[in-house]
Amino acid sequence: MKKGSLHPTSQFLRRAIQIFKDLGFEVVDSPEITTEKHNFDDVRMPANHPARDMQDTFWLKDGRLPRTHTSAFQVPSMKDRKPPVRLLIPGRVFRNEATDSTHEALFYQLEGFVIDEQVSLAQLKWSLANFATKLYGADTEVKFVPSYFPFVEPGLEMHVKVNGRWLEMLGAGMIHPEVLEKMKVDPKKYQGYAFGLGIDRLVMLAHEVDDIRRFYRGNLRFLYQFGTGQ
Amino acid sequence: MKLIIKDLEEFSAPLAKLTAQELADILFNLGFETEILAGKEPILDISITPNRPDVMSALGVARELEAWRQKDLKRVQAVEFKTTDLINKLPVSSELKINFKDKVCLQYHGIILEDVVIGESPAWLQDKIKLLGLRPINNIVDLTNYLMELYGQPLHAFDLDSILGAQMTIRSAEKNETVTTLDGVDYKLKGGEPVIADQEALIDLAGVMGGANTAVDAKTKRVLLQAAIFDSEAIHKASKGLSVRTDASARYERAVSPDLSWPVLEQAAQLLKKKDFGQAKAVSRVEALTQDVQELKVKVDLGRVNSLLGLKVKEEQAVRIWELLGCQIDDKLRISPPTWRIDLNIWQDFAEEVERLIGLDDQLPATRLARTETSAGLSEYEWAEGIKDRLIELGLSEVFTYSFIGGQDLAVFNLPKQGELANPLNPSRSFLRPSLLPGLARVVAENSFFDPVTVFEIGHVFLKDKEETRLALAFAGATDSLDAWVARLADAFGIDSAVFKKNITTHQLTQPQHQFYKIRRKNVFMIEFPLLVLKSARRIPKKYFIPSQTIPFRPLSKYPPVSRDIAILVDRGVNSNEVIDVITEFHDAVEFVSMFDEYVSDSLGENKKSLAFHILYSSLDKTLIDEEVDTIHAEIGHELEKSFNARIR
Repeated sequence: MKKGSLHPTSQFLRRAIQIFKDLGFEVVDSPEITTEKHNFDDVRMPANHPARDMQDTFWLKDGRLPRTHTSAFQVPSMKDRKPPVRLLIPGRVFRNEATDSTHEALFYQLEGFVIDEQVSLAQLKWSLANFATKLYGADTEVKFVPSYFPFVEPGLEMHVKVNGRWLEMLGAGMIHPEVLEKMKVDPKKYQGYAFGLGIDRLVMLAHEVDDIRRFYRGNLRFLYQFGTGQ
Repeated sequence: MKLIIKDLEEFSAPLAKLTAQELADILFNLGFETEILAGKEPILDISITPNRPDVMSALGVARELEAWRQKDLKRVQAVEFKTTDLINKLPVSSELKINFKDKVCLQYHGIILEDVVIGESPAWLQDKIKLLGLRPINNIVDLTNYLMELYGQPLHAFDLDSILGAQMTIRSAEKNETVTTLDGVDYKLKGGEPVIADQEALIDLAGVMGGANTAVDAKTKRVLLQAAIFDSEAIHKASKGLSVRTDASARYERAVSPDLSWPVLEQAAQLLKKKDFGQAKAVSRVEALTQDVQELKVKVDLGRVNSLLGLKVKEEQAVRIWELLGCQIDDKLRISPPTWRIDLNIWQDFAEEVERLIGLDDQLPATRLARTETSAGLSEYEWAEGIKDRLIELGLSEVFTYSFIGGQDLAVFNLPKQGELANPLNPSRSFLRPSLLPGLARVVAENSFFDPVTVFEIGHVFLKDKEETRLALAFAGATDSLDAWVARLADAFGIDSAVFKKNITTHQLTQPQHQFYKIRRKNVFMIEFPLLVLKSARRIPKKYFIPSQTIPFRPLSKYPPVSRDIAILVDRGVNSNEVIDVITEFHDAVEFVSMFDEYVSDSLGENKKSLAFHILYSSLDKTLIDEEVDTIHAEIGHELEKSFNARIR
């Protein structure tokens, strides 16, 4: 019987997730619809603050919202867990932005974080560089740049050279002590790092896909090109 | 934020020796993405993150650049303001009575100028204003705009004699109060916006834009030049609520440092008394409210800083870095940040400064994260991936569909309306999907001539009281019967066939559904069930395949696609996404549709707009000839005329 095909985003996620599973990360499942508290307040993006303007949000009439980032699950994931932890949170996220060939109202992100007694920024950089080289090859050039996200301090971005072009691949940083406290983790005893990346854009780059919306139309002539992923 | 590079010299002469590229590179390394804009003079366009409002000025940028430039030098030279000699000699004004209510104003300083002559700005100032992307208005207004860009302190000039009753009250607006701003826009306020009122009316949408009734104009003789600070949250709320954002409000909604007001007013007074500004005279200063600045002292443990960063920075080097940034450090390593750094509050903030100035990229070593064993069982993600592999073996292909569907999808599938979005992007996607079936119906429609269509999706659906992961499958064309597939699935997963049948929903596409989704082929059926139904199944793969290499993308069709454009004139209320859907679903030869232009103008007609689309036509088994494409293209045109009352352009 002729085999079917695996969606290119699923294929990419499997590879990305495996790189971190090889370091002992555990994958967790998370809800797509969340609360303002989890999506914003828990990660230090209070109402009436410019930090919240960085993302365009859909709202449900009942007050809940489709999550704008997988970071919404950072605090809830620690509800029944104690450090040390290494977690991965893959999933759909939603942005109320005009759509075009590189922007869709929904896309996939992969979030990850580590909390332990001894975790440093240097280890975060190693983990991220390891991710880039496993994905794109041992000679892959990476560059780290300071950045700002409300839920980490220090914050940084990793840029990677893919096909001769530098691109901003992901945001990361050391988990902010206020977020650790919301996780009921003692920031005097533990440290952590967190990172998050958008998947669709990287899949598009890997396969030279011209339009992100193709991923959500289910056109079999398009999807069959990607094979079974084996 | 645009910055004229030459303005950096105002604060630091050595910076003048660096090229635009060098400056951009340093700023990038410090965490500010910078673009160099070509023009009459080199300009930088700097992205400033919300936590660094102090960098929203030439002064702030100069401070950052100097900290970097001096980090390896022997002596620290702080960026300093010019003196405030002129201001210091001015008497405190008793002319205006200023009242403060509702805590919306944190600081109110100003100067009063007489013998003001409003006219055109001198050429050098007009050039600067234009380089910054603004329009020159008059000498006073241009000066306030320019000084704001230089220092980061917004200024506002009032025609002093227009302030009725010689009194100002700075307070929250009441609901339905009105103000006309100096760009001629009338605002009906929601309540809570910071405003300034005189005896009779509102004269300023504080922190956002001045009122038209007190704007400086040709008749102005005396000016009140205001340097104030307003509550950030209130300004942010006002700006968002009224959908107006200005350079002033952008700074206020983050923070403005209280130490800027007198230096800025000094600069203003010095420049305004010059001939090319009309020789205005500063006669008094207004010191109505001064912000109470709490001194912050943060104890920093260098061991913890090094542990966080994974470094071995010596105390000397760390202290040096903090001093370069304007901090005071005592011998017990308690750090007082400068007033303009509202982002430095906890020791981790100071750790970040160490890492930022050392250079995040080059010198920090990377330390390996040792592998740990995890004893966690299979997550739902991993379990689902194993299920996917099994389905692919059976010939099914994975699809992703949208999480939001339309009211009409719900209606045609007899699903309840719930989970409605308050602000949908697309009216045909304004509800959370309670089932995967409508999305799969669209997938079947998308693949009209593909045979057979055998697809599946594993995704979240949203019921009244819970979110659930479901597996749904859809079949069309030359494939086995529904019963055969149900039996095959039960067998492939190792689940008792009777138990399986009891827990799944099977669905034959109905006539109304065929019509709604424009599915012409007959015999379309689907299966859907919660993924947990397979929990007791005995033959779920425990592992799933990891793709080992990148699969090169092959073009969709061996036969080159043909492209055509179509432009339509429609009512402005027409949603372009719906037009794209109609075109795409019209004919199988339509491979892809994208909009490349949307033009809204009254010249097209009242309430009309023009939409233009690229349509890519292709066929899997032959090269389409022009006549074939033309025919389909014309039919699409007719369809759009019908469906959207469109006129083809």
